[in-house]
Amino acid sequence: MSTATLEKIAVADFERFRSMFYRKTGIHFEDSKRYFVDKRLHERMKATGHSSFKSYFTFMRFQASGEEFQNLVNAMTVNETYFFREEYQFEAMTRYIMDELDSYRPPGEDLRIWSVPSSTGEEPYSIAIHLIENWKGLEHRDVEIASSDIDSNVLASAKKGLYSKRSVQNIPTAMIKKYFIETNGQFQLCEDIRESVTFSLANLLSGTNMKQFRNFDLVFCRNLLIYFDDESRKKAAHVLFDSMKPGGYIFLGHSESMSRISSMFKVRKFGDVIAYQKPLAGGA
Amino acid sequence: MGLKKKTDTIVDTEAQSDEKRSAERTQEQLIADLASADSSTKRWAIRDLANTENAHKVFLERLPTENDPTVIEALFSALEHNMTDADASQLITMLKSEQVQLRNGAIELMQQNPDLFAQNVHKLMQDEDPDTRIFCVDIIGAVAHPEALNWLHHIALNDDNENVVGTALDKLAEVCNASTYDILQTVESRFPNHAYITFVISLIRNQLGSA
Repeated sequence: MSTATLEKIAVADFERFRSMFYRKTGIHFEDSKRYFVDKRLHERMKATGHSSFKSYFTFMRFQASGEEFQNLVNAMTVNETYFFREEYQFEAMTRYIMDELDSYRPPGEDLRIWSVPSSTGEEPYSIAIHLIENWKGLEHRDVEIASSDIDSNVLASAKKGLYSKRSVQNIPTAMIKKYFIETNGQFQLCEDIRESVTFSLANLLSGTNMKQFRNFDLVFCRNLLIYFDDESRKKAAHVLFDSMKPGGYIFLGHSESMSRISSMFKVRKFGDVIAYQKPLAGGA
Repeated sequence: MGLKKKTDTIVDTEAQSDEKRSAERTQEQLIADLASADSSTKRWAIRDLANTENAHKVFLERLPTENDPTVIEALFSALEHNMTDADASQLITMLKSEQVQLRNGAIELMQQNPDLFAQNVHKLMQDEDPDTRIFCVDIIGAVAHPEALNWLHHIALNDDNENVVGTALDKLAEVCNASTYDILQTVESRFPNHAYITFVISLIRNQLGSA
């Protein structure tokens, strides 16, 4: 089916889609995103052989497996990132936060880090590399790194650990040599680091899905809440709060502020870096 | 020691063994969990109860006795959707609470439900407690309702308490339009020697370009 044979997405259809997508994922598309949304919808209509939005929508909403809804989520989410993005937060992690968390936990208990959304893996793998390179506590403390995303395609890509030159451009050359193998302009992350991150599918706004994500000491949730509206942000903040242990920390993206979303967390500053802490007496 | 290698799942085993979810979590059990000593148990119960019948009634009953701020926040969040007039009436009683978080939560929820607020605004405007009337003005100042400006005008023209009128004028300084100009002289004459009211009226006139 060519794009020319696809029916245009009417305003009412866009509203219907936007409302459904918001209810299911918490992601709200502004009117300014109309072109982006229409383009992705047309791609999915074409891929599934539907020329009209109405028939595609019915197919997608009532498909028992939910496979097409997941494909649609994959198409609608933005997954652009790179290694060592907002590196100052990783530095605060290894310079201050890990030691503090280490002091809270009894010997023998793992520290658990959660990176959400994982996108194609650059963030959780950056955390792993930073810890190996900069945190001496690894000599006496095990650390688990988990990472999740709503998009199943990016999870598959994250597990492969194969990156473009652009993705690795912020990594010092010596570290690239240490942790990657360059082949045909692509950079394959070594197995040792890939094995240290566990990936899983997660929807922050799905209560049932989120109940399994618990007891994290440190959470990275950067540049995700900006895609949510106020209500979903608040819900997500509550879910994140309950996914953490008392005393645990969360990092948001540089343009995001937990203080504007929820008063449940304490603001902590480490130099110029802001992190949000679940109070030690907050229960978990 | 070091970074742990992949396991089959990241499901937390401790949490899993502690959980009494799905089939075991009846509505009765969840309501009982709201009185648990553990704030996490309470928040999970709120989340699981949120879409059940009568959840709002249960949450509104719980709010005045709840002390944990994280649980209070979760309760207010769970009330955001599908508020009824009965919910709104009960919520309005929280404007008189001594607990700041309850008052603020009630104000915020009212601001998010303009139509329900509109049904209660006249009752609030006539409340005998000036503090409650000030909270009413605070809600009007942020509520997205076409009548908001008229309500502020009405309060500025009719309320006898200078603090309530001062707050209404303060909000009008943000949202005033040309129709506000017509009421300013009357308000000024009601409180001729009140420094703050005189100041805000002058500010509004400046904003309307008619000082």
